[in-house]
Amino acid sequence: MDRRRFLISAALPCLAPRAAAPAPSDAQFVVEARFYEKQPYRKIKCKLCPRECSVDDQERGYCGVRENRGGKYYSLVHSRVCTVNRDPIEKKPLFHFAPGTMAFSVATAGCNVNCKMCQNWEISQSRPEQVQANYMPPRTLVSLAQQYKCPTLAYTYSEPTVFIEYVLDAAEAGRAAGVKSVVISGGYIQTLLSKTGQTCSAIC
Amino acid sequence: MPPGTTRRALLRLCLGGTLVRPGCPAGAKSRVAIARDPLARPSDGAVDSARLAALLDRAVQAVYGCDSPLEAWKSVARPNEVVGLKVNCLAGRGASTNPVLVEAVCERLRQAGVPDKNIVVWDRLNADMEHAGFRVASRKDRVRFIGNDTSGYENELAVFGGVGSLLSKTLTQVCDAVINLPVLKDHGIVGVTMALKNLFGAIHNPNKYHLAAGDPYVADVNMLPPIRAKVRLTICDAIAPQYEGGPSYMPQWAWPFNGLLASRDPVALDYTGWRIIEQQRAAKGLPSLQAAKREPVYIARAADAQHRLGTNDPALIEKVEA
Repeated sequence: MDRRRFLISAALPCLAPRAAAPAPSDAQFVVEARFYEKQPYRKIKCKLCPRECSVDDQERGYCGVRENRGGKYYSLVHSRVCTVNRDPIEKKPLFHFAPGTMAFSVATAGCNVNCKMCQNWEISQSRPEQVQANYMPPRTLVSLAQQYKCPTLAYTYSEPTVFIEYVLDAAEAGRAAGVKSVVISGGYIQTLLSKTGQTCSAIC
Repeated sequence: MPPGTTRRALLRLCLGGTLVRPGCPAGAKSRVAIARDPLARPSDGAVDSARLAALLDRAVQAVYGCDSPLEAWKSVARPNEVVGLKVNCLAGRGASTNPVLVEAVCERLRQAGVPDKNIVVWDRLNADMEHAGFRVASRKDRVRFIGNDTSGYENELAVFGGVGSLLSKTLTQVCDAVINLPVLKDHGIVGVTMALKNLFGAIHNPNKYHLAAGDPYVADVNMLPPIRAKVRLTICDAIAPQYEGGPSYMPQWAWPFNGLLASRDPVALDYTGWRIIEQQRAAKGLPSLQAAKREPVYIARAADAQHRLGTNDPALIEKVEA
């Protein structure tokens, strides 16, 4: 790697979020969650992870990024990217998948576990409105990955399970453009994990 | 003694056993004032502000045992202190702290010499406060109404027991004293929500602490030093409490209690409020919260030797009908 490429690589974390459109409001990040059950009296039961949070109106689940609004459950973090970086794929760590290439790595706020040793607790244990984020819809994400010569999108740093709607949409957009997707997860998820596997190339 | 205990920890443990609850002389009972007025909220639904102010005076006067309400309010805060009023707004109008009650508290603080610029009404989010009927305002020469999303959170974690959280800067940097203004209501996960649970609004990650019916997390949050040191009084809005379906607003389960609960002991207040909710549930043929698998065991936890936030012993609670 020459000096020029090293500098470009080092500057990417600062530049990439600016390449995406700034977030004018929260509304653009809010999409109806895909995995939940409606219950009487405007309650819902989340079916995303084994916690199966029972969530009252105006409350959030354990992850802090999904909210019950009038009996409908919403993800608050679709395209709400708070961290982006260009990492070697081996850092994910994947040793036999596209070796020697870079992964365009993204995360949103939130996590469905609460590990005391978490190195990214500032984002994983925060609610979406408590961390700075940029609007990065799936197509923008894919074009940024291509622009920075990354053949792979990696959903990592916090917990992709809690932003599963974004993962699935971005993976679909990436597949159409020839960009692979990998998920770095604690794996605390319900059986829909197999569904995720249909659009992602690797899960670790 | 567990291995690894330091001399400092040992001394603290020994001293802890001799210390009394804040605001309670040794051997004294924790006083919980219950003030009621059937006409505080006539059947048309609007709260009578004059009657509510009178209820407030009776409740606070009873808590402090003073001859006049003004004397009692002067015991709550000094004029040079910034007083935070921690409201509960998550459920919107109907099941949130009534703005009429907040206005009455502000008025009494003014009369006690606390200027408008030293009164801050706060909760988690500006949007929640507006949904509950408050108008967000951050001008520093007036009474401020701000959510934690305006003031932000500390950068350093505050830790006690099972809790590690960032605290609201409104609590840590703005307020010298806090008057807790919760609502008396049922809670679908932790059983009931009143004084202790309302302080979840001071931390950045309350969603992490609803496991196991909030035990021990609710008690642990209240042990975080700025919370323990600054909360001086709890006035619980029990005008139209809710005995089922909370914390969301479910009018079919609200009833006209038309009262206020006040105490300097948040544990005693929560215990008293819990019993009121249980009585109403029994009267309506609903199972007890224990049978519903959401008994608020965090109240007992808050009273244990590791927390000592107050008492849940009925023999040590003096209920005063104000």
